[in-house]
Amino acid sequence: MNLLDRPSQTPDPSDDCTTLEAARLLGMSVRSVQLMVDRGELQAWKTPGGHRRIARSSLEQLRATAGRPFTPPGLASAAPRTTAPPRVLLIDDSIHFQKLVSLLMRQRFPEVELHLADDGIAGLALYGQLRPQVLIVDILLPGIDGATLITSLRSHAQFAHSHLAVVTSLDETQRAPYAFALDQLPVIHKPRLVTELPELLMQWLPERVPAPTDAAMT
Amino acid sequence: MAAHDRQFRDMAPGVRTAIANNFDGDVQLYEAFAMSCAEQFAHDIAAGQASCDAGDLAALHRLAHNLKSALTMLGHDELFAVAHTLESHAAAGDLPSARASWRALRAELSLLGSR
Repeated sequence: MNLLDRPSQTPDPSDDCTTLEAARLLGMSVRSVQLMVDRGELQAWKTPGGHRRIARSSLEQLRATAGRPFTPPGLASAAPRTTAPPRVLLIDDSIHFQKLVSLLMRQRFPEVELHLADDGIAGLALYGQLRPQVLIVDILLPGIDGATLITSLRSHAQFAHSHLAVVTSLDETQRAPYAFALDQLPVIHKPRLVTELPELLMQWLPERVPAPTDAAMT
Repeated sequence: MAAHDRQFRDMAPGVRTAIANNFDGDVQLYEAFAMSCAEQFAHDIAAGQASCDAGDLAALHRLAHNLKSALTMLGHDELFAVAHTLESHAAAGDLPSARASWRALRAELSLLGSR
């Protein structure tokens, strides 16, 4: 592991950020950031509890040199890839569910790059930047609600290459006002997410996602 | 008996049901999620208190809604009910009742986050 020693002086917390925060700032999955830390592409140190802390200056330097869209230097310097890793974008303002989906993806779909957005506006911007194969949208979002966002995206031809799933904690009665946007879309009730989302991803990303192994499932 | 079997056996019935129904029986995934929630509850408490102090019912409603989902996933049905009450009061624009519900929810979340 290519981590720096913990700073000898008490670090200013504002100088560092967590892996999750770095992933958000870079528009990458947490796993990708962890790998960049391990490859020494981001300056970081570890807390006594083993959590990575990443220098903000390192993030800024990376963003400045990479420009937009952001390309992880590890990928750029590695042998050419024949296929990019599949991308999934989750738009959900619940940090709890962002973490649940992150855990699930890391466990069962480690090849997939998961990107996160907290609201509809950020989600739209990230969608245009990433063009993910799969978009997962919560219905109730701050700013643009999920139903409006879905209707807007589906009206654009360039959206045709993406698969779309809706996640919600609303029951069927509560979803009725949003029925106009949900037509012919898979809607996952959040308590069923662990069961139903992997099934959808296996259908939508069959060539790029290995079947879950017994080891991965335990 | 494997360690995770013993761990599962010692869990509260509601939690065991949640693991079976919401996590496909995956105790490790449940535990990882529960740990991440415990960390996040501290942030939720701070955000909820700020919203409560500011009388921001929309923010309290959104927080209660999101907490409801997490709590039901975790199998904490009693806390789910408290969050549901807060959500209802916030949706109704009843700030005094929402504040009372928030205090109850905050106390329970603090306990849960410290376990």
